[in-house]
Amino acid sequence: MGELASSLYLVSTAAFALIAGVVGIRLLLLSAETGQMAERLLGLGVLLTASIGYGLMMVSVIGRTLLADPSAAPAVYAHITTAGWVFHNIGVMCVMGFVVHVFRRGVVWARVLALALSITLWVGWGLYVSQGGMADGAPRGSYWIVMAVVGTYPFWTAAESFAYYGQMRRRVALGLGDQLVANRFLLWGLASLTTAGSIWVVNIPGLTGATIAGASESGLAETCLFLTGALGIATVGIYWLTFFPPVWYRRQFSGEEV
Amino acid sequence: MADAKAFDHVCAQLESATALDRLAARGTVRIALKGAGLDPSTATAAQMRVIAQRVLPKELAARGVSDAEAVCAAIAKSLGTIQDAVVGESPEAVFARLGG
Repeated sequence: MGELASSLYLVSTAAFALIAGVVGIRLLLLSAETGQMAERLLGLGVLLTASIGYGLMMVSVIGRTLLADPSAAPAVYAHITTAGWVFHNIGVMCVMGFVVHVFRRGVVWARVLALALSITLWVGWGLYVSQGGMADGAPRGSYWIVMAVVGTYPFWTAAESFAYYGQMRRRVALGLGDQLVANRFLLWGLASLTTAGSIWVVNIPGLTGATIAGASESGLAETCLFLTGALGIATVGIYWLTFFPPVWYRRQFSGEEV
Repeated sequence: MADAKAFDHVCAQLESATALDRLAARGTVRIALKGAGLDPSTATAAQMRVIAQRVLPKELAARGVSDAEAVCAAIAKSLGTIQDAVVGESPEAVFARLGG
């Protein structure tokens, strides 16, 4: 179970980073073509958060585990982790910018919320860095300040997407909307939920206060890794249907026979 | 955000063609739009035409407006002259592009 969970977690994280990179680059190319801010913000958000951010963090984690004594890892691993976090945090701000720009443009409370979450994220992360979090990766108070933002902003994205999906369904019923586009709001909301789910599930051992050894003995760590991996694979699948809907999926919404 | 030109036009037409006052006319159209998943600030003339043809007659009939179908048909026809003001992109337009 332990090896299976770890393998699934690594594979899903790598797959997630890969598809996020492809999606991010595709959206940035689209924004260069259209000149629109929406795809630029989302492209940067997905690319920086999931591909470059998580990618660098994973490189650091894997690199440390390959060392004979991970606790004596050279400083370069902390630098890689720091760079990963910086890209990740900028990406989080871009995704929140996308939500405000697309769903709540000109709405004061949404701007204030995005600003407050961004400030909290950077302040919490700055504290975490100053307490040595980049070197040991151990959860402490400041880490949970960061997680309070990283683990909640996807719920905002999901709520906006689901609310708009409800509106789109009513439009579709009157012939005023495209079914595939309506479905894309549902998919993006689901992707946001699976993202939030994986963020929280992987942190359950830390939330319960279990030590690494204790979590491993009870099977909690493996269970959480397995579930996080499964949520990651689900997110990859949803991203695929959202940004690269295959012909058979498009046909579900066009009324054509498969 | 200000209401769209097409929304204001339908409300004004409804107010002049029926016994509904300004508040009731605007409220009725808002309810019709909400039921259709549309926003008064972004509704286009083409969308308002569909609302006038398919949703508004029921709302007017429920409020005791006589000859609701004919009133709505006239409103739908009058929308042909309305030019939509250029407004910001809707979430629908953005998400339509995301899937390629």
